[in-house]
Amino acid sequence: MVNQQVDTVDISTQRLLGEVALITGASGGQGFAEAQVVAREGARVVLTDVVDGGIG
Amino acid sequence: MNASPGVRSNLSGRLSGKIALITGGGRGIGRATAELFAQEGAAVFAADLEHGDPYTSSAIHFLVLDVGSESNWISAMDEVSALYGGVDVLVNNAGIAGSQKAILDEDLDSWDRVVSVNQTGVFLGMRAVLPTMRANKRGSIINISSIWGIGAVPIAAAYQASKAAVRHITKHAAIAYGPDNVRVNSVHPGIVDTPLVQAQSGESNAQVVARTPLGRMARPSEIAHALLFLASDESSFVTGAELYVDGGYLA
Repeated sequence: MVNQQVDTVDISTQRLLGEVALITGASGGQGFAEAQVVAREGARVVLTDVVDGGIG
Repeated sequence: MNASPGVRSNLSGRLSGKIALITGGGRGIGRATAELFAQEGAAVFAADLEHGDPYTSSAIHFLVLDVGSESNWISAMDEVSALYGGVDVLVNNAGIAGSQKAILDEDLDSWDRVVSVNQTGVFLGMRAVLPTMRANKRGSIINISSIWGIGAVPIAAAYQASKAAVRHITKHAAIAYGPDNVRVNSVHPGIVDTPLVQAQSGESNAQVVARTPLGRMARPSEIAHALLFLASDESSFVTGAELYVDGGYLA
């Protein structure tokens, strides 16, 4: 159920084309998930964190 | 749809495969919502007391519905069932301003009519769609309240009382039917450029705009976009919430 819903929403609709986003706490967890969604929607994303957890 | 700066107007299918019913769909916020939901791939039933102008999209079916009448709701759901299994999204949008008087100046007939449309209409709408939503284990109900369902002003007692009731029954329904995966949220528009608002006194509208940080009325499409989020699976963990779309009025 949850996966199906995520899949539905996974389609990129380029709603943030041309926007630049800065996301703090983005090296993992919720912040990284936010960065993925924002990037998928077409924004250029700056990820920041106090630790370098590696991206992805 | 009038595309406004920053508001997308291209197709993206965010509601594809969904069936939506929107009350008060003939004018104002309801009409903008019907058009947007259809653009995003939903099959839409727009319900109202009487036909307005034709819709842009052929995916919009018009239904005659007085939301305060249970027999009207039964007929409307029969019409929906004849075409589709049931609705996935209900927007209880139909509303009237009433006499806009304070308690001592109000007459009972006017009070009753406002309660019938704004409050009982929401109750009956939820009753009409909940059996199918529970059986399907999915559904999104969006009840349109108001900034006046949160804060009070010295006029429009019936309107404010009815909109506060909408806010609370929304939370009740979210708790009662959350276990069935039915989500229920309220939306609280500030002042919006609709026929309902245009019919009010220009002076009082100007006062509301003056107290709105964004300094203007909303376009109906700006409310519709908030409803789109709540109607879509993007909001799959949002229920019992109250979303202010008010230009900062309540901040």
